[in-house]
Amino acid sequence: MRVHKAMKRLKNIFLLALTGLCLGNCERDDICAQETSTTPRLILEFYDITNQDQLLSVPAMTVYADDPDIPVPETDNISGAILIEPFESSRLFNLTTNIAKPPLFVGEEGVSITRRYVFERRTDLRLDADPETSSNTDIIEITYIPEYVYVSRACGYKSIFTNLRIEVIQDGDNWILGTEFNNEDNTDNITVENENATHINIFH
Amino acid sequence: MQRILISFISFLLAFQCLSCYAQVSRPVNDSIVRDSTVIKLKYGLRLGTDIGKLLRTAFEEDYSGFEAIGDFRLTNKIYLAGEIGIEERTISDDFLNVTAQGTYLKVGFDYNLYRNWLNMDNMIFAGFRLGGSIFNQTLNSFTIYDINNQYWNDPVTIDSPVEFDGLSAAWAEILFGIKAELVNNLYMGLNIQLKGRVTEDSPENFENLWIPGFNRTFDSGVFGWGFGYTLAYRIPVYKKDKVIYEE
Repeated sequence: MRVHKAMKRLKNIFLLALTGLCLGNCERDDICAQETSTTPRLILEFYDITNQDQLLSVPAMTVYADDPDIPVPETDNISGAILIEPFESSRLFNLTTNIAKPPLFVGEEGVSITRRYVFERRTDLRLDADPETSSNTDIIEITYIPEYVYVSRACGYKSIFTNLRIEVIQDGDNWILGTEFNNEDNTDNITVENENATHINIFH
Repeated sequence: MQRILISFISFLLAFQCLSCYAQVSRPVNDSIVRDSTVIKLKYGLRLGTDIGKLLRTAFEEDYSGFEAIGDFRLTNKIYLAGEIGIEERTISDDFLNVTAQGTYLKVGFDYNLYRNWLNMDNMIFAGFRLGGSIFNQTLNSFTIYDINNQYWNDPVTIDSPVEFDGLSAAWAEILFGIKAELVNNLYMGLNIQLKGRVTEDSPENFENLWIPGFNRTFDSGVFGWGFGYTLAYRIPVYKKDKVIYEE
């Protein structure tokens, strides 16, 4: 009788131990969930200069970095154009859209970084056979300071971007007519922490 | 073996008869007539180590640790119990490489749930501990998690170690386990520990991924778990009579 009771207790303890082991191993902490806010991109939206609350798509836009290592996009698949969304193959190439999300170069923490992006309007006019027509390329210069922020065991650290400023390079034929930070207080710089909201409005 | 069995059976039979007798005589005067057997219980300090930790130290590259365990029998069923240890563990994945190192102390009680046969001395026990650890964590290296970094082709990895000193944590834990006497005064045990953190001192812009004595932490909350595989020797101090009344 007692032996039977003891066996029953042992069985319970064994089951408890097994549950514990399972809890230890089945935990999902080790995979960084895709919805976790990690290193953000810069989110730009394009508005009508004449009606500044109205989103306005840029015709046949291509966005790519102004960088010697990044080729000028010629086709959609082999391209220097930025991806529309990560883990997908479609790029922001010759596309009529009112939003662009260029990734920011992550450098050394605390050290100011400047990178340039090309925003090309009417890419189709560059690609067509007619040498008389061409696209209009504007360059936006982005300056910021990376700061590393701890996220979690699975994701490790992300980088946020403080003191971010932008400047539209004047070329005498700009299609980008103005920019503003999408925040309440009119600061001359912003901190890009996540992708929850648009960071910069661009008027054209 | 056979002799033991025979003597045991005869003992049980004798018990049986006595119980009949007791039942008959109970109405006369219960306290005087109840029959009893007296056995000697060993009281003393039991000292040992967690051999599980020694094995892991030998075979696991990213772990080293030593734990001394001890308990002292207070009453028939209650033991004062504690563990003291030193551990070092490195956690490494794609984005983080962290080493935690430190010492810990756990103090509490074990309660024997098992009714031993006569003078046998085994335990199926539940225990309670309060634990504390003083430790440090070294962030050996980390890689910035950036799913868009292929565009600029700039995976950023920082290799200069960052040290977080003077960290501490306190927790409560409940244990369930067994202890069996292998040979005279030598005990082997197995237990599982369920832990809940009460306080912890987390580093700035980081967290405690692993705490000596507590083991790994989980994102989901304050709970953790561990197990022990122990070997201990009892230094007998004195024996105490235990009177078993016949039921």
